[in-house]
Amino acid sequence: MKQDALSHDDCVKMLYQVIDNEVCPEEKERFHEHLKMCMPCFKEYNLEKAIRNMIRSKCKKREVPNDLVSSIKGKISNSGAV
Amino acid sequence: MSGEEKHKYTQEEKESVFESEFLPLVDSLYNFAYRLTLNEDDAKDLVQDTYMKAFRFIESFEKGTNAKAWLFRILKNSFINEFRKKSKEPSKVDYHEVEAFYNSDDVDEAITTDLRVETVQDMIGDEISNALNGLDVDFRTVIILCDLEGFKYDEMAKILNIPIGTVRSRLHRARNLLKEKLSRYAKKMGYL
Repeated sequence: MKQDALSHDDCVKMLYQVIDNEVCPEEKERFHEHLKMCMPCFKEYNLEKAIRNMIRSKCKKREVPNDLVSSIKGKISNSGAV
Repeated sequence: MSGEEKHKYTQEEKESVFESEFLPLVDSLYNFAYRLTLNEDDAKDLVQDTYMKAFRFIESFEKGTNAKAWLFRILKNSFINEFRKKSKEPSKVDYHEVEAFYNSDDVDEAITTDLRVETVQDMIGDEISNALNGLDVDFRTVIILCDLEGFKYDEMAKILNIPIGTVRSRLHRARNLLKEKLSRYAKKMGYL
């Protein structure tokens, strides 16, 4: 069953939802069909993907302070004793 | 999450849920707290506070449901209720005004920046991190939850206690703001 192609506006609205995996497989396919024909969408999609990847790889995890877990456990066992 | 339903836990069960389901999330919670407060001591306090509340209200946690979303929700609420109140610098913008504006239909408009993939990939971690930290906390939060912690929209709606449509529009706006910041930065550095 061939569905109508997505309009450019629909595609722009869907972009983040596709990147965030919040669309069904059919919608995703239609989106990627549109990308093949639409240069602005294609560029935008790749740019957004690149930003997502940079956020994930460059926003470094901070080390949890050593005493945090023991201090939580301490507080809990104090309160649990009441 | 029904939220209202109470589950009876024995003391041993409480301790075991706490130990096996809650404590292993300390890393994610601390990082979330740090990105909200941007301060190590405040982040520690916020995480401790979150765990104290989680233990106290453990009976509203349904075993087998998403402990991470539940704890993130407690942390986010503690941040709003206690931390923000104490904070010296009050929010610069009227939040409801912002929300009403950003929820309007034009949110879905694509903003075009002259940012290119290569420009973004050339940026170092600090630049991305600073741009993210420079966003207003509500916008920062949705990006952290979605991009760094991998929550789905429906989980974010529960954590933030907002409708899913608001999650979508806030995320959209947040990403546009981030792109604008990155683009401004790239221009300043002569990348563009």
